[in-house]
Amino acid sequence: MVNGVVIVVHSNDIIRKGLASIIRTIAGIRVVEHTSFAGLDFSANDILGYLLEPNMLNDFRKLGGICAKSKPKGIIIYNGSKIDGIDLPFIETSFSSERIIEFVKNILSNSRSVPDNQDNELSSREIDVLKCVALGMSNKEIADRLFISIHTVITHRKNITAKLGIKSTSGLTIYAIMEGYIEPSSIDIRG
Amino acid sequence: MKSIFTREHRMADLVLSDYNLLPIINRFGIRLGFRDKTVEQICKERNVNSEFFLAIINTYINPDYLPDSGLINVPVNSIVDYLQQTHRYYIEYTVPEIERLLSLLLKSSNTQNLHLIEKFYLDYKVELIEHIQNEESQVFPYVLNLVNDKFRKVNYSIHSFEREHTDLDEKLSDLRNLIIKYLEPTYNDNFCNDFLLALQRFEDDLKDHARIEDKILVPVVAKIEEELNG
Ligand SMILES: [Fe+2]
Ligand SMILES: [Fe+2]
Repeated sequence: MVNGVVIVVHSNDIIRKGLASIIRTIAGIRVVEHTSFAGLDFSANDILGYLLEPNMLNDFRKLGGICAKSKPKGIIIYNGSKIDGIDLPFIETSFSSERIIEFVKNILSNSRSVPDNQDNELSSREIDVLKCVALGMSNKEIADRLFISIHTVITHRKNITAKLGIKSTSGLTIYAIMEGYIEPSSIDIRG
Repeated sequence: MKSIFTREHRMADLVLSDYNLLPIINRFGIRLGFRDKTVEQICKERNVNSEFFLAIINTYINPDYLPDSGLINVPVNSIVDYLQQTHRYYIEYTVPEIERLLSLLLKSSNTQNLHLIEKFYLDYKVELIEHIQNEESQVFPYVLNLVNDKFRKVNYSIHSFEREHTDLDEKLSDLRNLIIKYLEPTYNDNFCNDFLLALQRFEDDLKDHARIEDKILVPVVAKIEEELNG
């Protein structure tokens, strides 16, 4: 089951209103309509996805950082035909309303296929924090070592995990060795 | 969201919809050869509480599906029995199978990163076994004493378990991530694919297992504790 906001951005009033009224029938979903990106609030954290007009895609990608902030589960393009070079899910104009509903539900509930092309490179500060984590230091120890607050350490750790997709401390340690950030000999290798 | 199964569905259709349900069905002592019998009919034959069976199946298919309060009527013994069967399946089948696939993979590619992945797995396995042993030796006996003998251990409640209950699937997802992103390309494709599929299946199964512990066992036992106190 899904809960949250779907933002429908389309310059054609009839298409936009039609799509919005179909998607509104899905339980748990609120729809916000916009004619363009101007004045759109991307920062809400319950944004499930966007439904866009194809020619808006470039603008949307330019706004990429915003997309990462609100972590939408899906970006869907509405158009009559498939466009080359775009691998986003597609609603064709021939789709019935039932089919649109099924389609949108499927994409929004499938958290495994998050289209995620943001820059996942760690910053140099994040690498400093990662090294400390890998060496088994506590948040307090890391804060003291790097002269930053514990709160900042926690924020860095969250960002590292979001970028790498690795949540556990032992997973981060293995990653740090694989990427040569720390020496294998500096941790306790069992077995 | 995928469909929700009811008593009237045919058991064969349920299995055809997702083969990953097979080991789950086996834990109830249900085996193939269903003909056109419904869930209700098969459950009756096998002496399985169909409400509980469907709750387990439906939470597996739809992680967000949670059966409503009706579940309070399921005997706690059945819940514990199912959880123990699942533990046994992990120890006797899943873990050895994952290790068999990992050792094939290691034989095909003798690189540092793969050895690091092996180390990560072995540390995880220690944690997994401790987790299961704690539930088998502390939590389940407490629960069974409570229901069967109305005996309540002092200074312990199911909420202590709930508080300390750790995530076992998180590290499996880390493991998959490390393999997919950082393996050196000298490995054997088929061994690696099988290994990843086995990890994925285990991760999904563990998530379902933890949901049953947290969302079914805990509230049912908490309610019994309340009644005994009251
Ligand atoms: Fe368990
Ligand atoms: Fe558990």
